Formats: sequence, C-alpha cells, structure tokens
Amino acid sequence: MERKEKVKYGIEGILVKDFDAVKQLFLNIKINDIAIINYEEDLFLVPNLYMLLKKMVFKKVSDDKIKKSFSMVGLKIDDLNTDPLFLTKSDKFKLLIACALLNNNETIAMIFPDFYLDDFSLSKIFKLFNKMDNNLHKRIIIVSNDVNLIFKECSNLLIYNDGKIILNVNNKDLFDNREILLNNGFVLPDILKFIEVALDKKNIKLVPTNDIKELMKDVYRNV
Amino acid sequence: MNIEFRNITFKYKEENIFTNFNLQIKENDLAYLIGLNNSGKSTIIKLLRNYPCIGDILFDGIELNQKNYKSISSCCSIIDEENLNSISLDDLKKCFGYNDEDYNKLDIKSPQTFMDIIKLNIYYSLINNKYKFIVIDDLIDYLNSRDKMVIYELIKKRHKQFKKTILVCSNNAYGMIYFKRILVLDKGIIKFDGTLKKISEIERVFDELGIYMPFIVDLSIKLKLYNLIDKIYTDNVKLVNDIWKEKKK
Repeated sequence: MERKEKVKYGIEGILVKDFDAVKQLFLNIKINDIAIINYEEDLFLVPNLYMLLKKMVFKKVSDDKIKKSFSMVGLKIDDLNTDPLFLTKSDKFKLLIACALLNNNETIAMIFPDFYLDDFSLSKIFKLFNKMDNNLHKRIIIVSNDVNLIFKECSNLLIYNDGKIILNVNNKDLFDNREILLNNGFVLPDILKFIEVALDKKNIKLVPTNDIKELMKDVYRNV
Repeated sequence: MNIEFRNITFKYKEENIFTNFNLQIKENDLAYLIGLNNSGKSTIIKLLRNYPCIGDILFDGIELNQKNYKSISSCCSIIDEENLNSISLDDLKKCFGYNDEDYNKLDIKSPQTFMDIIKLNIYYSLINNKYKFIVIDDLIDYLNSRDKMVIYELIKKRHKQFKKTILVCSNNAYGMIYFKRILVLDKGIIKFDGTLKKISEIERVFDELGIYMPFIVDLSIKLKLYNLIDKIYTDNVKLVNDIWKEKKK
C-alpha cells in the first residue's frame, strides 16, 4: 500500500467485514512508521496513566505536551496518577489517539473507531485529523466495517475481502464500481443506495456524492 | 413484560449517573435508546442486573431484589459484551420459532466469528419463547452495515410476531427507523421520548447533542423543507416514488 497521489484530506478508509479481517489485513500490508490505534483491554492493566504513557509513547514528552494532546482528542484527564481501568471505553480509545499524536507518527491507523466513539466524539476526531493533514501532512487510515462512515469521511477507499483488496477507488468512483462491492457481500452506503433506487425505479441520474446537501440540490434540479 | 425504573439514584465514583431517574418500558414496547458515550446507557443494563441503587426497579409491578432476581431474570435476556454465550444450531432448533430462512440470512460462518456470536445471541433471544423482555446494549453497532440491516429487520419481524418487549441501546441513531419508540438519554436524563412523528423535537435534541440523523430521515427533512415531500420516510423506494410521482421508468 504505497502512498498515492495526495488526496484532499489524506484520510483513507479500509472497509472490512469484521474484526477477524483486521489481523489478516495488517499481516498482509506492511506500513512503516505507523501508529495503529487498536483497542485492547490488556493495554490498560497498568497502575496509572503515567505508566501507560511510558508503555505507549516511545519518546520523552513534557507534561504540557501530554495535556495538549489530551485536550486535542477531547480528554479531560490531567491527573497522571489515574488508574486507566477506571476510564470509560471511549476515553480509553481517545487516550490511544493521544498517544499516537505524542509519538508523531506519519501515519495513524484507527481500527473500528466507531465501536468506541459516538457521533459527537468521532466528528471531533475527524475535524482534528483533517486539520492535522492540512498542517502536518499526516496520513490517516480508518479501518471499519461501517460502509457509511468510511464513505462519508474518507477520500480514498480500499475494500478488503477474503484476504485481498478487491477494490481501491476514490470515493467519487464507488458508485460506478458498486457491482464489485455488492458481489462481495457488502452493501452500498445509504446515500448511494438512494441514488441507485432513483436510477432503477425512475431512471433519474443523480450525481454520486457523499454530501447530503449536494444530493439535495441535485434532487431539486431533477424534479 | 412491563419494566419500570422508579426514582433511581445511582452514583459511580462519587459521580451522579442518575438522580431521581424514571423510565417505563411498557409491555410490547419496541424501543431504541440513543445515548452518547457516558450518558448512562450501560448503567441501565447494570441496574437491570440488580446493581445496588436508591429507588425501585419493577418487573410487572414486582420490585426487583436479591431474592427474586433469579426468577425474574430467567425471562429476561440481557445481551451485552459481558454476557455473550456460545449457541449451537441444536440450541436454536430446540426453540419454537426457529426458522431456517431467517437463520440463513444471518450468514453464520464456521468457525464462528465474534460478529457471528453477537448475531446468534440476538437471534436466540428473539426466537426463544421463555424471554419476554430483551435488552441489547451497543452490540449491534459492532456488526457490518449488511448485518445491521438484517438484525434490525429481524427484531422488527419477531417483535410483531411474538409481542416481546424489546429495548435496544446504541450510541448512534442509525437503527431508530426500525423502532416504534425512540428515547434519547443524556447525562442520566431522558431528553426525548416519542416516535418519529415528533421529528422536529428529535432534530432539536440531536443538534444539541451532536447526534447524526439516519440518512433517509435527514434527506426527508431537507426535502420537506423545500416542499418536495410532506412527510418523513424510512424507506428509499417510497421516498423516490413520492418525489417523482408522475415519472415512470
């Protein structure tokens, strides 16, 4: 998976069917200098946040930097003596993102972020990543089984099934490649499903988009 | 089965999760509870498992306590990450209501994956006659988009068929279009309780909390604003047919 031509925000999505595909995926794909944010309860079995950071952050960082990265991901934790086990699942996931920021990896891969973060937190993290890519040129990879999330947030999509990448497209081209998606047991993102129904039932050719406002305007033009 | 949380106060690590919390899940309810992270959803599940709290939890009017917990919980299925069981095809076949057609839609693999175990636990509770009340915490969010649709359709179908009381908890609104009753929980307070008909109220609460509307509902709201349609849809085909009424393929 070589770095491709720079996409607008540098957020790429890998659509998989389930958890089990993830291990296989990262065995097959070798990426250097990558922070993989993968939630594992065992990681938090340390007496306090300070020990956890020592385990997760591979360079010396100041308390100020720690606090800054915590606040960037929406964490209020500033007491390094806190037992990580008392944190909620969503806070634990945010903590892993904060550690990746402290490590300053060129690539950050988030595994199933939607399992741990609600809409509000996800939107905050994506805003942060978009800003980071514009300023710091980071490459962000989202691995998820949620086709709507991947289609909405990622400019480039890789569809992974049965041990191989079956599709590698810009999100604008997903609609034209929908047969591949459907034949491999995936479903279309809701917005594309609507566009497909309009085409099938009424022969209305709407422009594929991941932006509901654009779709709305297009519907208005076609009525 | 009727479930009532009456004047519940619950603290965790000195933090008030619920203060005088009241909620009634009525017999035959098909309810979808949306709450952001740390809103109190999982605490509701804990309370159903008889965690100590101030206030009463009533099952068909009977107060839940240590003595009757076992007998009451035997007709409730609480499905969350801590309580997933291994279920075989033989277990399923023992249940009245087992249906090959629905089972095949689940697309269970061998050996079973974590997602398969989630799907099987939900399916087993839906077809097993002994469960009058089913609660599913967050687990449907773990499924892929195809499986989510299959499970929500199945919940809707089996609810209609067997008249079970069902409560599904989630941190997003994706599944709400399949449910009769929608509840929004925020910091231990019910911010909305009603149906999709009260869409402007739901919209206001979602905006306040940063929850996204399901696509089809969101599009309906926008099209309604432009007077292209006059109601909220939960089905693509019906929406398309309404927008382009006159047009035939």
